Amino acid sequence: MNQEFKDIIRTENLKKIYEDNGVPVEAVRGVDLKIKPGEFTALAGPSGSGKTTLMNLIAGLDKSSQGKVWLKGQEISKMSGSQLTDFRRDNIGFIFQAYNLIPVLTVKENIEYIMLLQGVDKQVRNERICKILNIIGLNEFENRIVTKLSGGQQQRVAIARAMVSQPAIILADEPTANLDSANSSNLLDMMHELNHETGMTFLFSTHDQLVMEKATRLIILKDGKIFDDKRK
Amino acid sequence: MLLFKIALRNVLRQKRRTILTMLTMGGGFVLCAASIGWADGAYGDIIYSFTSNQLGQIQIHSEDYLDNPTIYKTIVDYEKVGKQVDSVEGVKNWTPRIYVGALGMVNQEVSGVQVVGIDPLREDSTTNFNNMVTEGEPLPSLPGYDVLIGKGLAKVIKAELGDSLVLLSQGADGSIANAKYGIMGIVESGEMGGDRMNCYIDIRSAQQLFVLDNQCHEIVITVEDISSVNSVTSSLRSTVKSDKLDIQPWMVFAKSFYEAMRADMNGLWIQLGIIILLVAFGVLNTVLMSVLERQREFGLLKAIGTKPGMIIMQILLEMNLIAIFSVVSGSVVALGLLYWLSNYGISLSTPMTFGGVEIQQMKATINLRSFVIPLITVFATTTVVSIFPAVKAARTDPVKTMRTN
Amino acid sequence: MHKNIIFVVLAFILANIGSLSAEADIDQVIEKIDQLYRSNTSRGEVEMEIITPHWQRTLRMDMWTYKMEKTFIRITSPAREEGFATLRIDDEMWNYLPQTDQVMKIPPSMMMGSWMGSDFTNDDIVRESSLFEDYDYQFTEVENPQPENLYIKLIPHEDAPVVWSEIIMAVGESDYLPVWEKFYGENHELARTMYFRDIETVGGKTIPTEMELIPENEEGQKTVVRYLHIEFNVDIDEDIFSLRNLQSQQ
Ligand SMILES: Nc1ncnc2c1ncn2[C@@H]1O[C@H](COP(=O)(O)OP(=O)(O)OP(=O)(O)O)[C@@H](O)[C@H]1O
Ligand SMILES: [Mg+2]
Repeated sequence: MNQEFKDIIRTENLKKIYEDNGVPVEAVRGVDLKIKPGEFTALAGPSGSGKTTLMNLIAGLDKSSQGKVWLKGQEISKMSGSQLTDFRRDNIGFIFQAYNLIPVLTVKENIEYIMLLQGVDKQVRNERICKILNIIGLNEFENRIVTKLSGGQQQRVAIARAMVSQPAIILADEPTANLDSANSSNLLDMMHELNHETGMTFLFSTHDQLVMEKATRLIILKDGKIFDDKRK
Repeated sequence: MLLFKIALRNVLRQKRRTILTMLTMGGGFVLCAASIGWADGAYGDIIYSFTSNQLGQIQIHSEDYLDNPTIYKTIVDYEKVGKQVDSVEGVKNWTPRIYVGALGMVNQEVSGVQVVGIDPLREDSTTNFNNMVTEGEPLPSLPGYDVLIGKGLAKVIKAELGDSLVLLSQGADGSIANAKYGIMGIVESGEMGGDRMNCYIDIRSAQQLFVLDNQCHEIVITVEDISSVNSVTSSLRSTVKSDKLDIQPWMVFAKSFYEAMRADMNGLWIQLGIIILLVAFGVLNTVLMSVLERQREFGLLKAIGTKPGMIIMQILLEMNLIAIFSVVSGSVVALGLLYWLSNYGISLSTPMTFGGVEIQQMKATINLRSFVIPLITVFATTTVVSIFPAVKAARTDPVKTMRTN
Repeated sequence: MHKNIIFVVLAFILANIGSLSAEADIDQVIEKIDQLYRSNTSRGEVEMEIITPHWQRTLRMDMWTYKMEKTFIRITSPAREEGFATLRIDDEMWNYLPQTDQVMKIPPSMMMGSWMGSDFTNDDIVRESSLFEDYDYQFTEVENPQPENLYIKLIPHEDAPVVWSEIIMAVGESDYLPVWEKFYGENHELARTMYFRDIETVGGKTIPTEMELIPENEEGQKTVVRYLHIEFNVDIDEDIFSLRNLQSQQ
């Protein structure tokens, strides 16, 4: 399965049509996208332009109406439900706008969750947690229940949770939408740093001008189509 | 372990809901346990007093005697049979009896009576017979012309202690059986039909009167433990090898009593069914609420790679954790309640009669099944009721639930 | 026209003659049977043989009767029962029990009980019913009728002191003596059959001197009564039929 691939994410003529009370809504209307390993890409566009839909299609959370998605050179629509779940667990880190964390668990436990599912050794787990907590700067909150953290802190834990299992791809749908600008900037810097250090591929959607500026590649979506695609 | 941790914390997080659910489950558990313990106690008492009072728990007769009792259907050489009975484990005691119908007369008052020939010593050690002699004296250990009569019979023939009872009947050889006895005691067995008919004489006198040398009609057996009646019956059947003899437990020879008992027990099961239904609704309410309000959480869990089975497990675990708390705390309460009921019981203002046995006081018993049955039903109900919502939760579509706004 | 009327009248008369003669007949039969064992007084010696699957014994007894009202019986053998006596006056009955020297009055509830272990009930001994007074009767048909017998069905009057729902009786056509009687119980099931045999002239009367009573549903069981000796209308001291005499050991 570990075949050579040039693009870590590739879509071909990707379409998604929703039924809204019998009226077809074309959320994504033929997206051809190629993202190289290690890119730090922002997905921007007006509300309703199809950002979330596109990211869900790429993550394999949603099924496309037409077109194909390859992740690490594998076509995900050919995978079974259970294979896809495992693939997601091992290769994609998610950061959502909110409700990222398991509310009853502590910071440490939330970060540990996926590694436990993967069956990572306890020692390895602890090393990685220690390291990532340093990076996100929440060492002292290690054993705090996540619902008792601020929104910014929670999003940082979400990043740590997404990254600690060392997936190849991080998908983040409006990770800063609920944060003030200081926190947003802070979070983005952290993500950028990690991108730099680990070489993970980042794809995040945003409305935030500030966030767009920090990206190395900016894709603008409009009416479900790529309107603009620039590398800096 | 992780699942357990999440489940436990979820349960602890929703304190109010957990406590309410625990009240339902624990309440149901306590009610079930108390009902069973209560019923077992009451039934145990009823069965015990019903059977120890004269009937015994196992009886031996000549074949066909129970269906159509006659003087001729006897157990021959019963002492030998008795020795075999004694050799069976679980047997406490046995006592032989002769039953013959007769006319009885006291001071010109005549009535049909049932003459019961008993072995005074054996009868007392088997059925505490002498305790039922409420007036006068029990039969002496040596045979003579002494008789005890039932209280109801005494009333019918206007007999008093010291009066003579003349019996007229027929021996097994067809000859006239006629003898006169001095009434030395009144028997109150609590079984009214019997007390209106029975008069008791020494079995050796009866054998002579009715020409039944070395024979009896019935051997009554008591067992050490009333719940082992069936197994003792089967070992008796294999030990006392005679196809001419019929060995039956009380469920057979007191069939109508047994069936009344069982019908009553069915009432208990219906009662338990209703309790379980209430518990089920409580559990369903809780599990539906907790699943519905946590859709996003399940969406997240699925998005980041949790398999559906784990989510089902997690919900079942959560509900069963509540069940464990409920059962543990319910057991403490039920134990206390049953302890109290088994020690003090409830006195009935008007005594209840069941199968001719008068019951003045009802007491519960503390036995394993009073706890095990509710425990199993609480866990089973919880699991069964939770499984549908759990499967639904496991099917949560992350795309729909995670969509913000 | 004329002819026809005469014919109809003739037929009518003939038919009535037939039925009139039959009715006269049956009254005679019933009268005869009613009178059969009836006399002012009687004194006799009777043997009762009781047969059951378990034992068999023969009782002998002396028996006195006074009209239909009184009976006195004293057993003379076997030894164990010797002296046992029964006195009945109207529908009351007492037994004398020699072993215990007691007189026991039989309560009404025990009337259907066996007398001395026989197939006769106490009620049979006491009963003084008159076929004539207590029953409706008519000729009837039976399966496999014998040509020499008449068959009569007796149904008790509602208030008659009788335990049977119906009695079918076979009577010799020539002598009007009973051949057998079948007694039916409450649910019209056959309860027992009595056979009459050994017609002899004793004490001036011609009667069957042996009666065999066979109960239904009691396999291997029957009771046979034989008159060994009987005199009718003899002088009897009425004191015989007293409790005092019952108790005196003769
Ligand atoms: N489940 C759905 N059923 C019907 N229409 C849908 C569904 N999900 C999304 N859409 C529609 O698809 C279009 C794209 O939605 P999407 O959420 O992808 O946009 P977005 O760019 O993420 O917007 P925002 O910036 O507000 O998050 C919208 O018009 C939306 O109304
Ligand atoms: Mg969106």
